[in-house]
Amino acid sequence: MASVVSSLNSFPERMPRVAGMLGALISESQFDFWAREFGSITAWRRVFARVQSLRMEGAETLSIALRPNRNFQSAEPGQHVNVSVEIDGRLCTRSYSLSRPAEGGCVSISVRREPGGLVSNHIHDHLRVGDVLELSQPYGELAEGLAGASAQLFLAAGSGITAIYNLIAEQARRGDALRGELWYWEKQVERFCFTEELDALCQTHPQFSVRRFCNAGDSSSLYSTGRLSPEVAAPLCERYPNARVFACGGSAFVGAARELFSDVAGGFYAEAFSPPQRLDEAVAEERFFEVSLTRSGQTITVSSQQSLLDALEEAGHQPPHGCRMGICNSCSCGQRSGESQNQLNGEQLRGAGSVRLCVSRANSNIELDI
Amino acid sequence: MSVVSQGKSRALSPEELTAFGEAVDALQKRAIADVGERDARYIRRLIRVQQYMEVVGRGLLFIGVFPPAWILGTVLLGVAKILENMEIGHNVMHGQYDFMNEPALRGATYEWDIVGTSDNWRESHNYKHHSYTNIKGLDDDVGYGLLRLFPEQRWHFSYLFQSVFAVLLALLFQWGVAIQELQLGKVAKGRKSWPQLKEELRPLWKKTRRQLLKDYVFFPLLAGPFFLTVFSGNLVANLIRNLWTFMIIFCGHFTADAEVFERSVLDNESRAEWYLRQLRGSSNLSGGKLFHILSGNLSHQIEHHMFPTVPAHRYEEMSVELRAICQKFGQHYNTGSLPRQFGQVVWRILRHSLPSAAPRPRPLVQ
Repeated sequence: MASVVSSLNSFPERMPRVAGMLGALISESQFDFWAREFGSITAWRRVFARVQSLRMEGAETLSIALRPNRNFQSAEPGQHVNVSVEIDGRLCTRSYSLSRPAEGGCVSISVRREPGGLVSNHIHDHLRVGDVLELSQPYGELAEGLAGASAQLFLAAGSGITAIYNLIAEQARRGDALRGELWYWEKQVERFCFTEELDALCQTHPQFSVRRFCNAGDSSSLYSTGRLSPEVAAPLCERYPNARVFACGGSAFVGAARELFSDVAGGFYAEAFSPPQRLDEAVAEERFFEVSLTRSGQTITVSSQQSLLDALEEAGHQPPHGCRMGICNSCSCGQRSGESQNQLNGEQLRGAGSVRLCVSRANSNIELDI
Repeated sequence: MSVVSQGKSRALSPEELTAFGEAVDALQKRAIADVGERDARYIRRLIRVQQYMEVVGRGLLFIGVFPPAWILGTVLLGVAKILENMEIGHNVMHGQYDFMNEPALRGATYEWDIVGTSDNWRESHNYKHHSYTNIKGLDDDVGYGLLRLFPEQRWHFSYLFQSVFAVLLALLFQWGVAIQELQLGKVAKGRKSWPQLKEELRPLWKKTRRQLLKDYVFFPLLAGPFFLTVFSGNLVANLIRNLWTFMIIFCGHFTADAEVFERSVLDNESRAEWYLRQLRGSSNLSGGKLFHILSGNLSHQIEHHMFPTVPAHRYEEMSVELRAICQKFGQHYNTGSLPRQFGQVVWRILRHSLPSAAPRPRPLVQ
């Protein structure tokens, strides 16, 4: 049985002898099944995590402290995990950044309620302490920028604050002195997260400050106004000529940050998330997406109006396939990320799952196990 | 599609054929649109039942020196193996539960608990058998390269002994499934090289060894002094599953009214014609809910062949409407009790071991 992400410290790697003997008698899925029957989240290879506590941050963001099983590798600051929850019988996967610093074997994610969002609303409305979620191994390279001595400039927009806060808080937890600024944009003032914690960090780290931007509603002195523009960026660059810049937010925000700060001396480290594709947009006109093939390491361009199988074959690949009409499941292959749509039943697959290449099309850039 | 050999169904006009295809398509679309939590709950519950049965069965065999424990343990283990093989493994590998995005239930990677590899099965069954159902020369399941079940298959004197082969196949059915994709006949005729066979044997041997060690070495060894009771219980449990799966599967396409087709049916075969071929090449078994589950819902072979990616526990409810569609279009819906249908299969095995002439082909579509 395949697992979503192979783990370096999975049970068979930690205890090869025991696992070898057990593995001769039962399968991976049997092991996972019986562990769960006995109330444990231990698993052969997969990472399951139990909800330890829940707390609201600002008006629409829920922080979830999760205790993962031992298959989970330790995370670097500013990393993300794919979180899978079961909704109506389907395991739905979304990426969330680690937010609050790790504590007592727990990691935290923070989930903002998205209007119409399937997973975020489910998490807000139904998730309870004691529930079990599945996690991927942590990923993301923001921490690369932490090595260095120059000042740090953090730029966060919306839920981009989660990864940025994690970067800041993890450094403070390790006893590093913070030096630099955080500029943090929200659309509404009630959405600001980690307010107390950030203010406390400013107290204990005199060389660190936070500036909050909000362009809506009450214009109290607590909040600055304005967007990320050359005018606001110029004085910052002057003040911190060697700064390392970390940016996290929507793709437009990160794109703007990249243009303004990519030349700074210390380095530019960013991660962007893109909004989900709307169904009506997806079917409209022909669009082109990139399909990255994780096994062959290649990337091909596909049209939204072409089956993935046709597109792959056109690009010279020969994925296994059979009936070419969605019956035999021979072409079914793993999807790691992105969104595809089965043309037979209109079902959209976001994130990890399996996709029948012959009847599915891309709705976004996707990653396939080919 | 041009002709078929025989049948109780009437030939459809092109307009009727289109309407038939649309009606079946609509039935399938409605079912797929409804797939969700109910199906996930169903398969989870079934896996739970199966897992407990297996554990209790294996546990009882450890105290199998008491004959009632041995008998109950063996039966429970046999049934657990049947459930894993049919209602779980077979259906999961069709991708019926792919919608759940559950890695353990992914059709493309599920590995079932029998000696054959899932990869071979996905090729010979999911692709060949389901795409080319009952087409002579393309669907290896027509006689499994061993039996002559239709007069359309050319007779050869070795078929005189096919009743013996059939009994052996029934007793060793999982081994038959395991080696089917190796196509040993091709090797014998020199149409496949030995190195290629050796290459294909490697993953099969790995799987087979694992299964054999598990049932006949490791679990018996765990029982210490009761090695033999566990060993024999496992052997009989596998035998029970072999006989049961053989019986169910042979009833699926080899009853008296099941039709076999020539390659030419594939010429420009439309979706509607494909549906029609699935209907005419398959046959159902009637029975209660428990019987359907134990057969992996292959008792609804017709529905399974028309809707292989729809979760199989839905076939029974879908069959009501499908029967109505068949009646409306004058198509025979081949169903009957297990004794009746299996009796017809046995008759085919006996009858066609002797030379027999194919009936005059009749058109499928006007």
